[in-house]
Amino acid sequence: MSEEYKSEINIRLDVFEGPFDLLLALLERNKLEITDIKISLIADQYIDVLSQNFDMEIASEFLVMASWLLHLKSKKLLPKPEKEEEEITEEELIRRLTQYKKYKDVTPEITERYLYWSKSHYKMPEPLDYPKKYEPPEIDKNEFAACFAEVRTRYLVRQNDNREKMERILKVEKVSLKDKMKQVVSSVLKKAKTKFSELFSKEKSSKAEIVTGFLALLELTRRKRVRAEQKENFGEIVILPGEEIEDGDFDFAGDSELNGDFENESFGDGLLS
Amino acid sequence: MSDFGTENIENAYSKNEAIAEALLFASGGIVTLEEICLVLKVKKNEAENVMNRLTAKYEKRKGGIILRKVNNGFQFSSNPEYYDDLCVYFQETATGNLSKAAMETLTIIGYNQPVTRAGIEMVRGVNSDGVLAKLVERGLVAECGKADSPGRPTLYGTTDLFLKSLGISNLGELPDITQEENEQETEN
Repeated sequence: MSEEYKSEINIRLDVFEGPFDLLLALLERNKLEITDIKISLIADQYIDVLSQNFDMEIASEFLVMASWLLHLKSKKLLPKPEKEEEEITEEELIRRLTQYKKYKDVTPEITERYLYWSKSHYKMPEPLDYPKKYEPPEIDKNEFAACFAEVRTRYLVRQNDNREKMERILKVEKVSLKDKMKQVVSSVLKKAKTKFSELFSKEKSSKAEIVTGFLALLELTRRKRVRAEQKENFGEIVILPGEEIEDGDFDFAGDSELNGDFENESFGDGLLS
Repeated sequence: MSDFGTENIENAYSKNEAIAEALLFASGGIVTLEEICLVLKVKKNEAENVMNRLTAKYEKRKGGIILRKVNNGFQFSSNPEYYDDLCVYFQETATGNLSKAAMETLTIIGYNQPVTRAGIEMVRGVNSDGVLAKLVERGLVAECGKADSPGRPTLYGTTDLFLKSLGISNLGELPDITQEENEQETEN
């Protein structure tokens, strides 16, 4: 830092709108473009200005930038590590400065326009005795639809959507022993020799269905409606008509065992898996 | 209307222009183009034509009252040119002036809306609570929704008063700053 510069620098911090504002002023003072910012020079001057302004009320806002600049300066002095992954880079500083300058530069024009046009006066709507016949909607219908869609999407995301699970549970509930028994009997009536695997295939039926189906088969054999044959362990079960095979509803009334315990019994996936 | 010959007749009002003018005067507030359509019982582009002719008349007249277009509506206002003269009659208040920080913040919101408070502070590099509150209090900036980011921070945008206070009818008329951006991009 030159002596000449030091004597010249006497900056009051509170006239600046922020660290970017101060940085831009320093760049201008050194006749530097944003893109060829000399980090170490600017960092020194920046710290210098900060240390002249001990008022922490104001200076605190400038401290983050000071550490940023020092970080960049130290990086210049130290050998380069393999990769830069931090966001505290010179490019980022230049990008932020450029962005800030863009708005800073147009602010005077905006201010000028504001000062001129805010001198215009408007009449407030008079409270008239007759109300407006036509009240324009505060929000037009497309906007409303968009808002509604947005709210709905958010709602759907937020709420724990259990519908799918509920549907599965409801489906499982439908698997009742009585229905399965009917199903077995009707298919045995249609086709004398029915394979169990065809009635309740692993691909088509849920686990609960197969288990209930098996229970139905056991119940039917007990009632002698059907006969079941299995040639070997874990082999195919073949279902044949029994002595008392007949179509029609099952009378569970006389069968307290079934009525009480089994009729509405169902087997949820949760129990089986 | 093109067959009006002399300048004198050009200044004459069509019935629709006169009705629109009366409507604007009676309403006081911003009257939208839709409302004008409703009153004049015409289609939108015809209402636009009427308002264009009326606007041209007011521009040509250079009188004490001017016709302002704000977004999709119209409103009368006094000509700011004669503000100082009116100050003899009205006591001048200091409410008009905004700080440099406030103007800077207003500019950033103007070009970046909708924007969160954090977004503004990102550009300015300083806490902007105070200035933002000031702008909202003035009615130049208003909350306009919530961002879809964590915490759903409030988004801010400019109001009709902002447009009126800048003498523009929509945000597209803000001074162009994209030009400089392009230049800088090519420089890089």
